[in-house]
Amino acid sequence: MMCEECGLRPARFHIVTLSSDAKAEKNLCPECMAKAQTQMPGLDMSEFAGFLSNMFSQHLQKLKKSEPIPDIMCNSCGMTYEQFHRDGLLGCVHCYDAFRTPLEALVQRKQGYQQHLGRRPGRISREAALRMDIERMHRQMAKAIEEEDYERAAQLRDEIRSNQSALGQIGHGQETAPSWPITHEGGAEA
Amino acid sequence: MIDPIQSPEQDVVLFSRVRISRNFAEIPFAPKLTKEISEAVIERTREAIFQMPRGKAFSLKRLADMDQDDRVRLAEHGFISRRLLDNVSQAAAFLTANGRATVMCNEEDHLRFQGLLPGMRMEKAAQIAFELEETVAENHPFVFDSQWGYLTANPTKVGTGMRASVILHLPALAQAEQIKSAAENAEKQGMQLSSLNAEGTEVQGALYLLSNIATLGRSEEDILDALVSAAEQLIDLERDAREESEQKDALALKDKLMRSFGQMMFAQMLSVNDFMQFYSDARYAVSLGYLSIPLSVLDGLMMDMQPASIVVRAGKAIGEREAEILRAEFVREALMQFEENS
Repeated sequence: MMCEECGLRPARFHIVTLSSDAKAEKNLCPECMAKAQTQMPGLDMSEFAGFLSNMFSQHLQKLKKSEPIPDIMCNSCGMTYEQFHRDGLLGCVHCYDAFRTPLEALVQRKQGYQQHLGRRPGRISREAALRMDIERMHRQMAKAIEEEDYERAAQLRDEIRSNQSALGQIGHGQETAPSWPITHEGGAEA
Repeated sequence: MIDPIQSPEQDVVLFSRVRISRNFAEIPFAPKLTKEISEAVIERTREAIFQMPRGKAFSLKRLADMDQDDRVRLAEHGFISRRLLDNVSQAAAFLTANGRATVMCNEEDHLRFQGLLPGMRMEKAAQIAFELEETVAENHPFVFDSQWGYLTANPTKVGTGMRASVILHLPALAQAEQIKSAAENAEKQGMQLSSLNAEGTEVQGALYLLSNIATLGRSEEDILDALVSAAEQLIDLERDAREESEQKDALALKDKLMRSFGQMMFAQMLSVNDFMQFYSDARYAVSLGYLSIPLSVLDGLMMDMQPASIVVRAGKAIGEREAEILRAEFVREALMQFEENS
């Protein structure tokens, strides 16, 4: 069952409100439950045992922080993070670089993973993907240097080198094992 | 007599469907797409699709050039997504006559490849979609990130960009009020069970959609395997529930379903809601051997009788009342040849 308040997330709490003349029932997700609690002074969440209490308090903390919307913009297409936050769609592929940090948190929350394990582009487009990666890492490296995060910058530099050598091998037609794990290739044969 | 059940698990499964979202590298995403650039998306796809050996089987439909009912009919038949109808001015679709393979252009993402097959045939449906995807990717690479895989306009759908679905008929589970627990169980396996109709408000004809939720962190193969396994559990549950209903009071069940069939055959006017209930009962009756109508005929009829499809079939503009009269006529005509199977 979905949450009756937001309709977006699965309901985890079943709330029964009793008053002198009526009984009201509602199914809520942890986030809406956290919001509801602020309007229900009589509700003591400490009575919830174990994981329920944890699940709830995580969302309550998040709510207290009220997640400030980062004031950033994609220089390539002009999309602001606020616009994206409102409509849910990015403006172009470069938004992924511009909004990387908040997006990482969002992807983690929605998917629970950070690493793609599925199909990858074929030989021609694999080259394009490598170039895109190198380009992205260059930008990230510049940003890391700017933020004086030299450890991250050095790590990125090594990754760029490894990708550049992989790119060189494709160019010479001697493509060996790529630097990423391939768990599934082809897949549509039969 | 022909066997009314012709596709795998068709007594419970109507369709297997796989959709894959992809975006071209140097073209902005939907929110920043102009009419001019959206044409480039269509043009690139056209080149790739029409040069395929089987390219002749496809026709290009620009939604803006079609009548409203013709467009909506495509969605009612599942050939395109409802979402594509939200962007009529830029949207297009490459379609085959049987609707089994589709490429949607300028939906939420630049391209959405779809394979749609009757019965439980996930692997084959995925194969159709991925073959189309590979054909276009050969000439124009899609955006791909080594960490997040295929990038989508909505960043919560990155990774495989794949949404695989099974469309199920669950009348006995619905009757036994077991849909909720089935949905909770599906969710534990990373799957979402929802009502088929777009608004998701009311369930019509006991039709449900089972789809994968996650797109990142597992391979397409794993996602499809998990979906098939969740679908198989639902199929077993539904069959058990049907058997239980029959064991409880076979005659009462048959009486209910056959009365419903009688109403459908003798009605002079049929609203969509009534029709969907009768269709569901007839489909249920076929699965129990009470009727011998091929399920593909019933399912085809179900789609043809939807609000926009019936207008297209009438071939002229008709009002609500006229549509109900025509629906009753069409249904009688289509089903008259199939007699009671007992």
